[in-house]
Amino acid sequence: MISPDVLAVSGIKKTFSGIVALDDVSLTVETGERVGLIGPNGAGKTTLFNCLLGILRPDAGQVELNGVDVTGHRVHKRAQAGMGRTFQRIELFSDTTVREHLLIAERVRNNSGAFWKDLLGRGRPNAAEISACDAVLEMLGLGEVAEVPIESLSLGQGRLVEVGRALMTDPQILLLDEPSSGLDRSETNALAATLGAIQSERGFAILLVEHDVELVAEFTTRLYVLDFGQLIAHGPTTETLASPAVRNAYLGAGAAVAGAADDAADPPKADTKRGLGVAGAADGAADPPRTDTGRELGAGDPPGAEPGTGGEL
Amino acid sequence: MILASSFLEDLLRSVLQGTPSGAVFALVAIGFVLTYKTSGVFNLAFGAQAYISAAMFFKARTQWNWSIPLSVLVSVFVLAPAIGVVLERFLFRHLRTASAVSKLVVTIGLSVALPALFEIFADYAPVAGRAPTGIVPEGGSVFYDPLGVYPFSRDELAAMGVILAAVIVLGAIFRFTPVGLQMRAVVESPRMTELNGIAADRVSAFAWALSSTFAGMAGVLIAPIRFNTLISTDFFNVVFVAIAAAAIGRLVSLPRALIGGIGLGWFIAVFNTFLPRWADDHTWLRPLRDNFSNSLPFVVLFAILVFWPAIRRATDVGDPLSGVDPPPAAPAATERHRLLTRFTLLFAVGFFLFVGLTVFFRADRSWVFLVTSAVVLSTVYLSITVITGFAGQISLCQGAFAAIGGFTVFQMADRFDLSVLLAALIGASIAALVGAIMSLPVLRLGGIWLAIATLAFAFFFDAVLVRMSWIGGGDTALLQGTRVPRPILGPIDFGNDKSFLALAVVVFVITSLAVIQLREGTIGRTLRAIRGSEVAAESIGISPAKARIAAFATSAFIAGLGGAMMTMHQENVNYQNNFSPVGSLFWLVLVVTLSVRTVEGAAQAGAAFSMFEPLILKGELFAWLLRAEHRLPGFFPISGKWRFILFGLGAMQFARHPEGLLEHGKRRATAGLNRRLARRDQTRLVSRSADSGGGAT
Ligand SMILES: Nc1ncnc2c1ncn2[C@@H]1O[C@H](COP(=O)(O)OP(=O)(O)OP(=O)(O)O)[C@@H](O)[C@H]1O
Ligand SMILES: [Mg+2]
Repeated sequence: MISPDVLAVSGIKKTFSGIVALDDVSLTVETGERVGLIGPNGAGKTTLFNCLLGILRPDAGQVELNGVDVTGHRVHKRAQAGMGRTFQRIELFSDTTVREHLLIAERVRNNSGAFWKDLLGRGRPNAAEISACDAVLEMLGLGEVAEVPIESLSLGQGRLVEVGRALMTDPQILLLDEPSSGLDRSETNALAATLGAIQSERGFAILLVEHDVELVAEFTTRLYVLDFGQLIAHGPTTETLASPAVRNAYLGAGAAVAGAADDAADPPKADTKRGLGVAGAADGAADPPRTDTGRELGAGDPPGAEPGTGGEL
Repeated sequence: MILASSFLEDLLRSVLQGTPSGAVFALVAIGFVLTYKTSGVFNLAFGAQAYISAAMFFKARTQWNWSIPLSVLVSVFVLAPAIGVVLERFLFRHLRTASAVSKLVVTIGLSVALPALFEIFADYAPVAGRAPTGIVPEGGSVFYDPLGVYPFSRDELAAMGVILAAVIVLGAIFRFTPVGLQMRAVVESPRMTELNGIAADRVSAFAWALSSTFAGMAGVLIAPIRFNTLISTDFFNVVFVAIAAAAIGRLVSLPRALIGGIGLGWFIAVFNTFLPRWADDHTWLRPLRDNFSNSLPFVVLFAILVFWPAIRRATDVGDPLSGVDPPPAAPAATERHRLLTRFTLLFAVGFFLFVGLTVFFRADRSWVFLVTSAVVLSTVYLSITVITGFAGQISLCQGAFAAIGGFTVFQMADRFDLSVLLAALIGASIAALVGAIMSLPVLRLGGIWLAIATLAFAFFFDAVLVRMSWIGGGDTALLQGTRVPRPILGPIDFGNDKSFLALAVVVFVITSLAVIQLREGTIGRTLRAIRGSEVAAESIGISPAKARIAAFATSAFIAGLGGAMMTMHQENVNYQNNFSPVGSLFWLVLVVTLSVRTVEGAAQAGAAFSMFEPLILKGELFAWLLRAEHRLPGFFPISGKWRFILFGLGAMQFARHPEGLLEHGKRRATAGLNRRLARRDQTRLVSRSADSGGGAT
């Protein structure tokens, strides 16, 4: 019996030297589904992504990809098995161009590299690979900058390159960690539209971590809400966002979300984000026992933190 | 009963015997941790600093006949802190935001340059057999035996007393002085401690002065206990043990470094006492006894690196004092114009043709020899291009891989009378295998730890493997040397120097082409991705371990091939001259200084290594320009040590220009031309689109 879940996570637990970052988190994503994951700063969203991909080892719990238990697998194995991701703090390959990023990913997916081929000069990108990459670049609107070294891109373009690189691996589930941060409103809308188009064409699933509630509301059908490492709510996006539990526990006094989710008159995006952050912090302050553990640490990068687990860019 | 008590007595004796050395190791380890924690510098030049103070003290005592207190004052309390402050102020303060690995390269450069610098300016040369003297009169000849088990020499007692005092003083500084308190905050805090800029400068300058003083003290104290002659390379061993001791405390804990140092002193002494005895009873231990005891420091370090779980978890910390500012963004790279690439390629080919033809038809024997050395060395340096340039891993054992190639040729020719060209390929393959196997346990270390592990391997190879009869030739090699014939291929006898030069060029060109293909192929692009971001590379399905093993094996293969060519060229392995561990440190420094990512870089480094001394320092170029040997100015020949100084100082640029000095200069020089070409394209494009626009309407 094949389950329709492309990703099934159960009982993930992760502590950092005594601080509980994830506590018994379980979630599922069905094939082709778009699922959101929200939570205030330091809630553990990035940590969860790192546990899903195996960059961090969870203390307990299980990760299943297409019904296969991948909990013990190395990162690259999971990637090859169909998990793709982008990073909150972008991670690009220095000294390469935009197209080269995608070409590397394409070659890995093909798995057609071999040492002797390299030696014979047959390891260079071939025409088929280049056209496959260019197709994705065009879709993402990066065609213009295909030859540009990665160092001279804007942050928004960098995020797009990450998305493109992940797409080249032909994922069955794409984990997106705050893809809209660093993008302005129109860029965000464009990204959402593009992603939506590609996703409905290829049919992979998306798990989206976002602070931009508007984007989450538009883009996802189902939503999980994480707070202090615990799932506090999940269900259909609109209902979950509107549920009193989420509004109280996560969004504070609540007015912000009504505006963000329903108001067609676009509140400035930066405000929405700050509103969330402040609301989250205020909530933490109202709950003393948690404040001095998780929240404080969430403020800065701990030393030796994994790249990509840091604070906001 | 008697047996047990004699066992305990021996144990006690070896522990007592190990205590003085252990105390010195502890001192070095503490100094090491101090600079690491306050400035993020993994200071491999620590041994060089210790050596300078020891040599200064020795010189003051024996040649200038200074009194002991004055000599100590000058060498330990003036010279050593001065060096520390100068290094901090003019070098490491400016490198705060640089990566840990590039700082490591800078200290490797220093470890090569500092001793040479001192030896030139202080006019010091080690004299074999002249034993260093200690800080107490008749330190080596008067003994005290408080427990009736092990007689301590005066030197040993003095060393322990001084170190005890130093540790107490350090404790007092940490407890009672403001700068000490700040330093302690930085050293002991597991998290980044933010200090404002001025305090950061003060704290790190103070830490450097302090740690350099410790280095000097350790050097002066250990010299009479451990060495018969003051040679800079011996001090590397001390640093090794200290690194091992510091590693036990994950490089962050001073008390643990202290305990680790003393513990290692004991461990080594106990091992040295009991292993020979056990080996008498158990034959299988005998080879271990014969070969391993003098390499214990390296084995211990390697074992700690591989097996100590804390190391595996420790990631490189940046500079804790650098504040929270992210490092400055890399300057926006510009695309290189295609015409420019073609132009420079043409230039290079023309230049090499010219040089090649001149050498072939005009040069005398000694010149052919020099050029051949350069070409052969360049082949070896291509191995550094692969592992450090492409994979971004600092490997300090390329000399060992090259030596494996060389020794294989020697063994195959000596024992089986095998064709040397075939033997060279076999040697390169063995080197590749060894490289791959060695990389397995150290791969997950990454960064500086990988560099240290490879260095430990290089010294292990040097101390143990080279002595084995089936590798370095053992007694045969001692009696008859490690002679190697030149190859013969069909009708061509490469005994002729010019035909061997042709062969060397062919090997170099083929290797270069292969390296370029690898760079542009899957493996090269994969390595570039890993170098850029390991997590991102993994997230698209790249296995970093596999790619790195491939890189290590390839690099070792190339080194082995180059090493084999080198031994054929010199018709001897000449291990000490060609492949010693300190030599491979210098190789790395040289290649990264010039240009580590390009094939030209390797060629230029090869040329620099073999030609710089005769051409520039001996004044041949000058003489050629003047067209007369005898009109050479009096300051020629310049000491060959300048080579080490120049390139050592050049390595300091690595942190700022990781692409290498030559590459940096080349990019700057061609930037203008590049821009002009790009602008021309732009205007063409614009005018063309204007044309087509006009056509449409
Ligand atoms: N490598 C690490 N070592 C120690 N603590 C960590 C590490 N990575 C994350 N943490 C801590 O775990 C908690 C969760 O962090 P995480 O980055 O997952 O939050 P997040 O939900 O992604 O927040 P944000 O919205 O700011 O991205 C925080 O308290 C953080 O400080
Ligand atoms: Mg996050």
